Amino acid sequence: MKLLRLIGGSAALLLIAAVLSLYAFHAARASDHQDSPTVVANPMEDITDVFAFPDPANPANVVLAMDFYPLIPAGMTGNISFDPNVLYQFKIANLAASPNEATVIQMKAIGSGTSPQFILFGPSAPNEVGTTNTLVKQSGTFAFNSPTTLANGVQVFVGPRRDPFYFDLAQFFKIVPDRNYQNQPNPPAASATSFNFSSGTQPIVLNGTSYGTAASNSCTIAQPSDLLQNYNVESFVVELPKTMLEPNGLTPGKIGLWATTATPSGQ
Amino acid sequence: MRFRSILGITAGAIIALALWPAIITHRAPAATFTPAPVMRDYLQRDALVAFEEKIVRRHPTDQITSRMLAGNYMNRFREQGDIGDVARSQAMAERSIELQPRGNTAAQMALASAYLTYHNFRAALVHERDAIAGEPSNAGAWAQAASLEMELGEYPQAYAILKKRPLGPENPTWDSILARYDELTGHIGQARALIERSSRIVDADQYTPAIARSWYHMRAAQLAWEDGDNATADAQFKTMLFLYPDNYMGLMYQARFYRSLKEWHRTMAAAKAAIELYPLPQVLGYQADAQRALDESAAAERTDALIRAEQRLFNVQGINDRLIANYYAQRGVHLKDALAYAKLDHEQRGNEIYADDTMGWVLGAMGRWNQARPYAEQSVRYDTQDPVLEYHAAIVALHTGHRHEALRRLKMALALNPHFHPVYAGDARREVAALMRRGNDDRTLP
Repeated sequence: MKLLRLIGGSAALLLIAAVLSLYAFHAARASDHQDSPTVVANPMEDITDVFAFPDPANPANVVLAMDFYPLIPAGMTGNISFDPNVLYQFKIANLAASPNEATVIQMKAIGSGTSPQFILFGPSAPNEVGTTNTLVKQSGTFAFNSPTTLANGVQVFVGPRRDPFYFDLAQFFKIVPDRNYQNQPNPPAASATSFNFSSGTQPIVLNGTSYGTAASNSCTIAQPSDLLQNYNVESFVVELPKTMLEPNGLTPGKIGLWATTATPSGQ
Repeated sequence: MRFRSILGITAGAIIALALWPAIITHRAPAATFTPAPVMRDYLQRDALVAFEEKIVRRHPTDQITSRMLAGNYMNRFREQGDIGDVARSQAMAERSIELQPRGNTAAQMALASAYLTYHNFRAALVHERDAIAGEPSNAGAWAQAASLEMELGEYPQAYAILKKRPLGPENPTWDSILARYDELTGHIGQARALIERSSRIVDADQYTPAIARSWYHMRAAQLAWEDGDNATADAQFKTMLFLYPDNYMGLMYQARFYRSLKEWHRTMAAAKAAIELYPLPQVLGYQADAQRALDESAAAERTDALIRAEQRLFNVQGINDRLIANYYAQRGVHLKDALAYAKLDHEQRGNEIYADDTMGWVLGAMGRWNQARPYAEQSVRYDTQDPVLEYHAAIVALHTGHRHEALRRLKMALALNPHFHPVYAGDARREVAALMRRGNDDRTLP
């Protein structure tokens, strides 16, 4: 039970980072919606999830996906105006060599508006490592909401997609009603003790380890509710040969992948 | 290992949250304020409300969507003026708090906003304090609390909050409340500077709702007008309407602005546009003034009848009490009703500047000048640079034998804005001339 609460408490706070292997892929355990004043005020800079997985139809390719702009109500994706000042980046480290990024893939909108064009830069070695970045070599332009194959063979897409993350946030806040660090170590009492499970026989498995069933852990048996099921995000997706993630043309091994958004003002 | 990993991630996240104020403090400030494209979010408001209503129906124990819906009902009220949306917002916020009594800051703030709209300032302050108790670092909740303290005439308490400025270089919400404090306490130049800076900041953000961007320009226009800068006021009103054409409160203040300049056709146009959206008694009064000035006396009588009907039928929770009392006092009609409403308003707000002013002015209109005097004195105790306040206090002073003070206040009103009112400004000039003449003859002016 304590473990479940702990995971619940950390889930909404996790940073967007995932360390994964292209060959022994584990699901990224991270999602983040509206978790700082700056990104709440600037949803186009608010990354919710990062995913990487092999193309099921072509194992030589890898798909990288970055979701941003959380909580777009269903049916209301047409009113989202892009910001040409925001630079979106995938950063890929070859962990056998260095934890720093060895490859970057950059994207930004051309002009504002609800259906702009975009430019993809890279994949290529970064001009600099760290939080201040300049653009690498351009690899092509593409239209909003239109899967496009660029001249270098990279397939790319930017457009709205249903938020793939599942989170019973309403129940989470009943378990952990207070995320304010100033109230620690005496936070307000919880009004619920566990997430909702639709059946007592539902197994609880975390990272491959079984922790019994919902009933054996005295969890609440009630219909859970995914707050995000009615919401969309904007997705930036690239598919490329795995070999392109290694600038020296070597076969990539275990990689580190993270995503960033940045603006010229440094936010 | 997994436990350590999870603990490590959790600890890291908590540290990141703890450091957040420091992080934003050291964030580089925006170098320039380039106006962003206007997000016409108001066009989607009804659809957004319907979307959230559907989720709330489907998931009645979802306290998050219900508080989001509470917020959107209030947004729709600000955009469209349906007072029923305030009741809906209140119901949704209460439902959310019932589902999550602890740490439900957003719902507490939404409920406070609903009570504020009903002019139930004390109840609003209770919920704002609950929000602060749950989230002491929420600058928005502190700013709203300061605003409520001012609505209740508790200016020292408001200042005690406002002097503890939150970390970070930019906070337009905070600065807009601080500007109100500066405006009321005789520092209109500082107030104008704060609002103009804030409006540039929100204009640079394309995600700021159109009504909010429009609101900052409305405030800039009001302050410019109070400060006698009519050219800036005119320009700011136009920007306000460019950003949100249906800003009914802004249209009302624009009508007041044109009325002060005796530009009666423009007064009519602005007042009519506001009335189409939300026929507050105040703007109906401006329309009636314009109709009389344009020799449309029959139409003015109909407008007066509409105000009277609103007084009897639609004065929800008494929110129009002050507006009706002031209009009746200006016209010299229904003065018993005006006094009853002025008293109700004063009971709601306590020792608030404009509640004092309304009491004083209504009592003066009834010829009860000695009773009016203490209220008039209270209304100008902070040297608020509002020419109407100064004029009212001056006339009360004149009728209670304080001619030096009357002369000083009349001169102040005219210095602040020589066109502050279509009738009172001219009257102020005549009274100044008369007092100056008498002053030359009478060295014993009290």
